[in-house]
Amino acid sequence: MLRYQKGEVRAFEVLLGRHRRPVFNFILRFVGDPAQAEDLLQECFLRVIKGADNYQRQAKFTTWLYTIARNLCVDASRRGKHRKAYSLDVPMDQNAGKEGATLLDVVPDKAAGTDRKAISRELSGRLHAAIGKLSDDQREVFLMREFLDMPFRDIAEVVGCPENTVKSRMRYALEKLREELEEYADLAKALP
Amino acid sequence: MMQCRDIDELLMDFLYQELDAEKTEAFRSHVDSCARCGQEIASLSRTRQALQALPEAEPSPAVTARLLHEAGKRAVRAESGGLLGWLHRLIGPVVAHPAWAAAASLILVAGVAGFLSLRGKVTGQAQEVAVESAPAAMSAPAAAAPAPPPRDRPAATEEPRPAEVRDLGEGARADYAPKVPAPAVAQPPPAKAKEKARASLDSDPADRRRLGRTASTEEDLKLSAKPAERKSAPAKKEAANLAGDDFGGVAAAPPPPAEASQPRDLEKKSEVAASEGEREQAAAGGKGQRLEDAPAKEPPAGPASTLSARGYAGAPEPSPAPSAPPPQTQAPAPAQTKSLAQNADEVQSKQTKEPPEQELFRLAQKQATSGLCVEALGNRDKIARMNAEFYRKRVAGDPSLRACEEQQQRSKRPARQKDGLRAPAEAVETQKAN
Repeated sequence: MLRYQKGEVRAFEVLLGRHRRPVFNFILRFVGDPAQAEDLLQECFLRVIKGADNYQRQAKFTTWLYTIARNLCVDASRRGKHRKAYSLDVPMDQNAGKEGATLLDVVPDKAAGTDRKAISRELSGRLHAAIGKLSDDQREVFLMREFLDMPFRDIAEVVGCPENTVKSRMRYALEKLREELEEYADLAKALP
Repeated sequence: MMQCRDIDELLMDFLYQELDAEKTEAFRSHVDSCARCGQEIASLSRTRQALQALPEAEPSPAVTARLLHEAGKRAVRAESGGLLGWLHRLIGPVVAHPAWAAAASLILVAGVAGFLSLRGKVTGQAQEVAVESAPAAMSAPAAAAPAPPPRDRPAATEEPRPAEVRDLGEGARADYAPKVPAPAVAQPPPAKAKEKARASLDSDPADRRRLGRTASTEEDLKLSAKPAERKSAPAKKEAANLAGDDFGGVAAAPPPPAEASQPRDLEKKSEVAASEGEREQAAAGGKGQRLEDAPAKEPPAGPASTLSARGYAGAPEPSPAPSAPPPQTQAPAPAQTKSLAQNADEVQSKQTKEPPEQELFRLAQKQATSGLCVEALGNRDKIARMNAEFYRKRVAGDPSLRACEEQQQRSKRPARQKDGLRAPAEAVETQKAN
């Protein structure tokens, strides 16, 4: 980041290549909408570009980056675009009756193998729905710790609350997800 | 030994491997011995394992490209840095507006068009002046004609006659009184023009020609008139006559108008003709008789300058009027004109070996032998006033002049006896005796 601060575009390219995917997934799992997630991802890195002059070396770049991403997500959530939790089993088109395609059928999955792909697709749909049911405080902590592998100390710094509070939110999030995914536990065991 | 309450506090740290080795060992010991804690940890571990099945998505390349583009623009500003970067950040968004770009383009086009238009006008004017000066340089009468005044001095033709004209003696004024008002070119050049003329007096005429101006401008006129400005009146008249009858007013005017109307090419011709004129003057003997009255400040211009115009004209010199001294040579010329002309006159006077009284004496002799006794005696009186010693030694005893004097005395004796007048020579001798 310091190299980009001095005007080296290549340094920013490296930063973008390293962080764009985890940040995008964090945003996507937070807001649940790929298009909105891309907009927020773009806005997040634009803020990095504009704020490069004010960046200080004392701050950890990932902490700064995810603080921006988290604030964008929280703002998007507060603007009323609350994430809607869709049932994976219920057909998306309510007029189609029980024969319509469910969310589980349309969630993409890159896993190979027909059976495994089908299982994974069903599971990821369930996971998306379960994560969507978490509160914003729990979701952000869960996403940071589970998918971004951020230490609780850093998460506490990002969200601006004590570390123990972060741990408590994390535990509540896990317990809630466990309840949501209990019936898919055996399904998850089937995955390698 | 840890308790179940301690396990609840350290559960998240244990699941995400944030416990140190010692606490991890103590935690594992408790979990192995406690079924409830062991079941809790196993359940949460399975949930975490299930979360790993969540696929990762990839952002679209368009977002990446857009971000790299934005990053590149910011990097340029960062490299410019300092005041330039600050200015760019300040006015960049404003200037980037399409309306500003359109306005800037319009101003640029208008500016270029205006510049080209002005440049075209100036060039056209220069070409026009050059065309006007070309025929003037090729033909003498046309050259003597007053060239059109510069555009920046349109009212010059209405200005009064110059001081040189006003300072002419009454005799000269009677002889050369203009029949038409003096042209504008006769006026003394303004101070600025004089300075220009002085500065370019010693410069190469080619340099002046390069300036794209004609000799019709007043400074150039003055310049070309310098060598012959203090010519004798007949010479001026001759030069003026070169202009033809249509420019009688110019011819009657003092030297500047007559000569001023000549372009620089004519000046060159006059200089070339000067040498021829000198030879002609040497043969004629007494054509420079007017130089006798040249003031001390201004050495006699000499036949060279007098004959320059004459030689150029190629016409025989009209008979001089010795009885009418040329007072215009005594007229105080402008100081600047004097200083400019002095150098040229000094050079010319060095080339004149014969003293003026000698020339005048020859002229008087010639007039006496020709029967022009009045003129001869008049010149004799002038010699007496100029150089008394020369008069006593050579002029007083000249037989031709004495014969003229006797002839005059005989013809005027009755009247002189009546009026009690004396002959000029006697009067001079009487004055000297007194």
